[in-house]
Amino acid sequence: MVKKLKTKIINKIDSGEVKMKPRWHFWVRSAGIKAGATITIMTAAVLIAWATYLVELLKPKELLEYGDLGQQIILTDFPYLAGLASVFLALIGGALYSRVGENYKKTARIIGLTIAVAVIAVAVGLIVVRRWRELEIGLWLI
Amino acid sequence: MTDEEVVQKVQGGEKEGYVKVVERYQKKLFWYLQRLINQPNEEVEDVLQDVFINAYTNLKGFDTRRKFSSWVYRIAHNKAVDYMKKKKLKTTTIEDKEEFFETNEKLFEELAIERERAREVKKTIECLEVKYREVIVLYFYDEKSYEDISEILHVPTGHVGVLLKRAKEKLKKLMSKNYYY
Repeated sequence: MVKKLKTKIINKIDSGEVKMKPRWHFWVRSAGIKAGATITIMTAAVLIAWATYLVELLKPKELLEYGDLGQQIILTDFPYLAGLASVFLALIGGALYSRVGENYKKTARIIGLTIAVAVIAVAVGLIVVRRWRELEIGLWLI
Repeated sequence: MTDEEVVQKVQGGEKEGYVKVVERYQKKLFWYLQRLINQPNEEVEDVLQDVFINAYTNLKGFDTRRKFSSWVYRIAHNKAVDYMKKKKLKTTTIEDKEEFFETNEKLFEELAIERERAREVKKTIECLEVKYREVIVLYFYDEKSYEDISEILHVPTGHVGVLLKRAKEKLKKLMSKNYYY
């Protein structure tokens, strides 16, 4: 068994039937996973920031003054899709992130927490930048 | 010469060096696969051949700063899982192989089992779910560390201890019930 298997494998290698994949193949794969994780996490954050902007446009404080009707408008116009898409992307980002390097050694809880913190931090950053720019434009207009 | 040094040479183009890799691992991996998939030798040999071919194809993706044995065992694990999925295997009991789950003092000691019950232990391990069977095989029969098992199974190191504890509990429980009869 032992000799037969060794011979079979070596024959396949020598005949060129079995070839080693080039180094760049693994480099591209690894870079693709890292890029995929980063892009999905960033997109999830952008969606949250965008959803926040849409909610702000609704002016919920003013709408709530109209009682049930106002609440109804908020519930109807709430950007559910952006929220759902953000969660979905964050999950994909988490799945990709767990495949980077030795991240498989981390527990699902740690990976989930890392992704959640990353998405929220980027989203808060985007919201702050947007508000700051709005303020800047406002001051410029004055 | 360490495994990693041999692999480095093969990565550099010394194809003949791969013979050494096959020689060093064929027996260990054969028994690992045999204990895991529990199928006739010919079937196990086919899976083993796949393991070595897959390892060769992906050899340039192996980082020589890491442990080669964990990497190749991981490939064997994946191939075994693929095989079991393909054949829809869960647990099987085929012809008796006395050497299959040979006497393992460490396992007997930890489970407080008499050596005379070796045959029962063997049959009970065969009845365990794959994830528990695998951790028992890696820890007791292949004598892998928690760190190595973590790399092979791609689970956090702390989780290996949990899996092993559960596997031992299940093994004890099944043995007390003579589940395999």
